[in-house]
Amino acid sequence: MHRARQCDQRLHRIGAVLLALLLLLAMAGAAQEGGAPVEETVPAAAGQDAAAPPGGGLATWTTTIAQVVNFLILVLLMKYFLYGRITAAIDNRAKRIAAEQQDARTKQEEAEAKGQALEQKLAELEHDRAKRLEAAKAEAARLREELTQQAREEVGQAKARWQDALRQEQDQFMQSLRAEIGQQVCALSRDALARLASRDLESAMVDAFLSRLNTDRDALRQLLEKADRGALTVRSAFEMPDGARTRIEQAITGDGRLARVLFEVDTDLLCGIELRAEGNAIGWSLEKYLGEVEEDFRKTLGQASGRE
Amino acid sequence: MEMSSVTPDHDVLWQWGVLRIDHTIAFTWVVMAILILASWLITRRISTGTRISRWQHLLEMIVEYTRSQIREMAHSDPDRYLAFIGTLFLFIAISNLLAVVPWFVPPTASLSTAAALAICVFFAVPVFGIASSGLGAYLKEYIKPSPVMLPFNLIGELSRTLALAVRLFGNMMSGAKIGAILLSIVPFLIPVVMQLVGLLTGLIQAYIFAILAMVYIASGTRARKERNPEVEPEPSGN
Repeated sequence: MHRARQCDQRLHRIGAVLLALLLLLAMAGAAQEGGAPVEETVPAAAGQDAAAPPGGGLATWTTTIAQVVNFLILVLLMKYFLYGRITAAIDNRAKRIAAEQQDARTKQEEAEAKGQALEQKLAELEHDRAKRLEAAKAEAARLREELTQQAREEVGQAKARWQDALRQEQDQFMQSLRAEIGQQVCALSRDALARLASRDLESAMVDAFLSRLNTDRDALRQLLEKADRGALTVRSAFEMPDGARTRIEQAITGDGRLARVLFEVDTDLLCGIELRAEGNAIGWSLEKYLGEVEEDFRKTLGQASGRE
Repeated sequence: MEMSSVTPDHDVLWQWGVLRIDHTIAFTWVVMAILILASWLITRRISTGTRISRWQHLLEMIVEYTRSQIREMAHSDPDRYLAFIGTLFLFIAISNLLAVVPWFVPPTASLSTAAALAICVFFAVPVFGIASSGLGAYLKEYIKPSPVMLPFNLIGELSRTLALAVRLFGNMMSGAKIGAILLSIVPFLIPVVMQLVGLLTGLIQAYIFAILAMVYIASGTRARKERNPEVEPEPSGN
């Protein structure tokens, strides 16, 4: 830049010197001609002055110098009015376009960087979303399993409670049924014996019990062996009369064995008499019969509930 | 053939003592006025943006084309030579194009104008050479490689510039002379054709004149650069 400016300054100085020289040359030429009409010729090679007859030259020296001056002035004016402004406009436009392009490149790079950052953030968000979704699914599955298990347990508990309640109702129903049947059977048997055989039910039951003792002596002997150190208990649903007690004691001790016989009243037997020792018993009672009936009835109820 | 029919220098419009105005000078001022007025009108509202007027567009095309031509010739910053070479081209081109206007005598048809332009080019070669490398360095080139070569170098410079001037004169005068010869032979139709051809040859002559001037200026400057390349490094990217 410094070199170019120095060059331009030299150009201006040299141009001014040459212009002054040309003017001096023109004035000298005019003075030599002494005011006469100028009809000198300029040969093809400029710069050589030669005389010519009036009206015969191709060019005149003064016109040539004037044209040189005109041309130099034209160069200066055109440089100011045209070339300087046009080149400045072109250069400024080029600089501005270059600056805009640079700015566009910078913005494009920034946009690309932001785009990459956003894409990365989007990928992170997507990854985070997938992670959270996976965690939510796992949590939902765990919660569903837990709730299912809880519901199962609650249903199981409710079922167990319902089954307990049902069982209790069955037990109560069976007990009441059993009591009712026992009472009905006793009443029916007592009435039938009284009407048909003119006997009461209790004496008939004592006879049947004694007959059983006499026929099943092995079982009686086993009971006596087990009751060797204890007592034998005769349980009946009614208060055993003294005569019947004696007959029963004689039937038990008929083989000469010593045994202590106790008599108890147990209303649960409903009808019937039994001889019990150490958990074993001989005899028959309506309770045992009713037990079998109850068992059959429970089986029937169980099958019916299973079908439902 | 009368000289006034060949050169407009002899058509004197006004004279006072040694000062006189002939057709050559008068029409030169007309061309100068047209050029300067058009430049001022177009560039007074010059736009540096991307939306520009069609006239500014035309001028920018001309200037940019001139710059590219100079850049190809000089291989250096074209703006230093732009005003001189561009004005040469525009002045000669406009003068020749205006030849189609009735009663307009192009100043380039005058040998005085051609000689003046040749003188300008003659002095422009050493002027740009001195401006490029300095007076001392420029003058030293005449005694290199030894002082014995001084006369040969001077003869070389003069003969080169003389050849330039002769070539310019031939280029500028050939069209007018051929036209005059053809006019004297065939007066019908040919003048119209010659007017059309004159437009083309006028532009070609302007182009040749400017290009030759640039070639000689560039060769003078480049010869010194080749011999002394460290004088001024050529700007890159031009």
